[in-house]
Amino acid sequence: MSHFTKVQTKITDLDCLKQALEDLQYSCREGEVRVRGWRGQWSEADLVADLGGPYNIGFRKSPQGNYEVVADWWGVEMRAGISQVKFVNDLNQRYAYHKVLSEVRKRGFSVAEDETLEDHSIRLVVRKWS
Amino acid sequence: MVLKREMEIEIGRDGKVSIKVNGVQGAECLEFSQFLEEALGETLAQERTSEYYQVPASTEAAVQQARQ
Repeated sequence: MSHFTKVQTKITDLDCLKQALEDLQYSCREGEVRVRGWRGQWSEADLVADLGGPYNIGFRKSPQGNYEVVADWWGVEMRAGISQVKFVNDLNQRYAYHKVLSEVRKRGFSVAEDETLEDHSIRLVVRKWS
Repeated sequence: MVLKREMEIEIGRDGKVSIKVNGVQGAECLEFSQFLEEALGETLAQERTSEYYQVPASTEAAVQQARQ
């Protein structure tokens, strides 16, 4: 091994974000969608995950290019039983999985190993001959 | 000569990603995984292991030639 890097995932790729939400079994709507945000104030979002009730979780592209999560977390936690920490962690993990696969395939790597470990982390080995 | 180059990637439960590069020596190794680090987000930490400090064979030969 030559070096080791640790990266904090930032959500910037809409396709991978949609795939991650699909993995987590949320249905999404795109386009000019509205999200019920903090203190019940509705605001615009680029993508919204419906929770089958009055609450939803939205995603809005920031000027820096990453998607921010917008939600009335109090309501989402109380009414839909989804905790913010768990939602964000699960989403980041599924997003990172799809983003890694999409980027390495573009660069001609093949996936040699893909497994979920006991601690629920995902291990991938990607390979390229040159 | 065909070389096998590998990345070992671990995605934590919180979405933080660790990347280890195998089979690439020297400074080239940092470039090898750079595209992925940039695509994913922000690099939190980077550690260089012993193989990083090995000079690739071709560079070593070039250095010896230059000395002669």
